[in-house]
Amino acid sequence: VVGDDEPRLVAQARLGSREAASALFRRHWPTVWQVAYAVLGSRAAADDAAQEAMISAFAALESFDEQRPLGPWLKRIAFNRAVDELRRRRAPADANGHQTDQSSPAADEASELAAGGPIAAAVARLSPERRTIIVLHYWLDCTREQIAEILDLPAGTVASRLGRALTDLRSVLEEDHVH
Amino acid sequence: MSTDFEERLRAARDTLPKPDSTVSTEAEQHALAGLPTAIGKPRRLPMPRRRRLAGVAALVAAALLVGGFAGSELASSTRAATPTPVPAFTPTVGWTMVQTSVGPPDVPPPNKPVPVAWAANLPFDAQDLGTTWPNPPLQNLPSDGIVISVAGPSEGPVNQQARIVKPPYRVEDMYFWASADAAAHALNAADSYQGEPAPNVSLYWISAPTGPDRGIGISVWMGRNDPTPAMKAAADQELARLTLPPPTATTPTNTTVPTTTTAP
Repeated sequence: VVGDDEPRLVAQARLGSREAASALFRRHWPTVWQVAYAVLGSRAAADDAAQEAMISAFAALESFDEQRPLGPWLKRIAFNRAVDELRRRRAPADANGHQTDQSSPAADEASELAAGGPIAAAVARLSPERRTIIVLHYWLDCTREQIAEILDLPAGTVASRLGRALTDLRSVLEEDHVH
Repeated sequence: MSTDFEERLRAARDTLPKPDSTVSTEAEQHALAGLPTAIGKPRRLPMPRRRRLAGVAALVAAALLVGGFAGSELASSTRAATPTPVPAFTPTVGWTMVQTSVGPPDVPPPNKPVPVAWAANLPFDAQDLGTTWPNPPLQNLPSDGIVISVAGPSEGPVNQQARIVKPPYRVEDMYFWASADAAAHALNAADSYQGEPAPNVSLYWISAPTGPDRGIGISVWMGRNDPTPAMKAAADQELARLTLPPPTATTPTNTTVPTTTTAP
């Protein structure tokens, strides 16, 4: 929810107000974290990605157009950061042995989101792309236009991907014999 | 129009996990304190006037100040080591070093201003950092240009779950954001990173704990999206010249841009 006072808070934060920056953080942090979780499906990974997203966002606050709502911008940063983390986790180790964390988020999914019931379990089993668009639209109340901005996609593409995500979700539920 | 299925899906929204309160608190403190350039502005030192008045003497004083602040190898080789109150880079040929401390003075932790040490393989002045983002040194970074900033140490709880890097710092151990982001391959979702100063500028960065209640943020901007091995090696070599304050040191609360120097 974007409050009427958000442009003022952004302006104050730019001028160095810790109180304003703190208010902005607390207003948007839960959703930013949930976007990261939607992509990564892992609480620990979402902690890192969301925190790094907020650090990055505050670092670039001066580049933000205060005439626009802050939420979609923060969500997009969180989304990008989470995708970056997803790639890092999937990347094979290099010749020097770095970057070896290829842990699957499946364990976290099973232990948390999937414990929320059959629909949540089915959402947890979707691919990150499908899961993210479902979470953004149905659980975080983002419009297609907002999703287009967050994912940097044409609105028409968002609509088609949302449709495919719903189809996949139905398929998963049918596999689980949930009707 | 929503279908019954979509309504059932919406009804399951509360199953989406929420962030842990402890993590949230730590994240807030880290976000506010870890990167002070986010919400503070570098104060301009009246360096031109001082130079005009004092000429060479000012340059000598600046060099001494750098040595004292850096606790550098150069300084320690000629006199007793002094505590290093702020991060600094040991001066070397071809690199410019600027230190900034932003925010209001006399603020207790965790909101105390966090100093930033900048190093670049191109000439620039503290005033070039300006008050807007992106600042000119980053916005106009040439293809072989490298700018490094080290913010910290921040004081206050640090997210110990964050990826930890220890000296010697290497860009390959950091997160990497290029213009063609991972998202373009994974989800076809983005082609740039937020805050990107210019399309040709990529960023290595890490926010790393250096102790139970201290952390630093390192950013390394490069003037191309596919930094060459030579550029990465040059950045690593400059990071090896980084000196961080000892754990017992206190960061200054004065808001100054104390030095701008290029090693002889």
